[in-house]
Amino acid sequence: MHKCARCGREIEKLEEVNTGCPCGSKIFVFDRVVAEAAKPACAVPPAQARPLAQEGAADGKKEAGRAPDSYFARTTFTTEDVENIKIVSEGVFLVDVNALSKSPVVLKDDDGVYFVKIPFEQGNSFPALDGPNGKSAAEKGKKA
Amino acid sequence: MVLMLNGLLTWFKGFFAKKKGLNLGLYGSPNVGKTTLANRICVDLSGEPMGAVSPIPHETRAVQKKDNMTIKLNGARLTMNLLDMPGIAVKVDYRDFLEYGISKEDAQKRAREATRGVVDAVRHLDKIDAALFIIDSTEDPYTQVNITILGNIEARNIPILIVANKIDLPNANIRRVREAFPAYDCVEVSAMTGENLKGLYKEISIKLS
Repeated sequence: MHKCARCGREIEKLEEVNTGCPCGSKIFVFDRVVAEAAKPACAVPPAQARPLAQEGAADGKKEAGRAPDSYFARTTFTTEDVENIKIVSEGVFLVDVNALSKSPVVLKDDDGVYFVKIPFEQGNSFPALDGPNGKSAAEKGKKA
Repeated sequence: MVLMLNGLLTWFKGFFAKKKGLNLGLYGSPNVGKTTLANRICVDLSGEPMGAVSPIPHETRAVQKKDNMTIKLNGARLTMNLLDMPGIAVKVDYRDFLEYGISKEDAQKRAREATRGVVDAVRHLDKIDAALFIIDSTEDPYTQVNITILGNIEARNIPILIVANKIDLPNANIRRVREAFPAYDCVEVSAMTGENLKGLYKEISIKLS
């Protein structure tokens, strides 16, 4: 939430940051705490995801391979999910940022097909490996 | 006193390193014969197979490991842990499994498990000490998966031995595999018939001893 630095008024539209406050000031302070509280808990609000999923249901051809609506309505990742990017519908993505830092990019499209991007960079390794010998190359390098 | 402690520590480290053996990973695309080869090696060296094989792609969907396998060749011994990796693919489409008579639900489950297997195989690149990269010699070796995975292994300075498999088939083309990756040592085998397995063991011994 942006507030005017001079009069403390909260802006109503983002355009006001460019045009300035009615008090004449063009300096604004961004209040992160208020903004976070006002933001919905997830990137894709259920209210938006549901109608989009239903739109797809009207397309008979696509419906054949389509995941159930409950999958698209779900706005969090579960332990069952392999993917860390989910295409909820055209132009709407859900990203598991935490999983992306540990695994290759795995995308699941709305037909239920998985795409894996295999990393191709020198020294590219993932920090958290399972098992007793689960040390990344980076960790091995540090100890050496 | 400090020197004595350091010596003791080095001895302990050496002891456990020897006991652990090196991790040899079998990498490649789905259905190139990784598990068939792993089974052949395991039966030869320990008398027990590694896992199930199937004509349906992505039969191996989790990393399988067999510990303390010893190759004895010309008086030399090499102890290793064999890791059979799930086939690596950049796309896993459940519809590809439907033609094998699998139900849609099972095919989707298989696709999810196979994708998890691909991720596991890629993450295990940091856990292996050497790699056998299996290529189906009846197929075109110039694929995105082959080039990318070989590059990843190379970038980690892990020794690689290319295994041109399925040489028992009439359309096998070993020359094409060798020409595709001239920078790597290549050995041709048939995991199905066991042809030239001794040649493979010899190459492994030379490469990893």
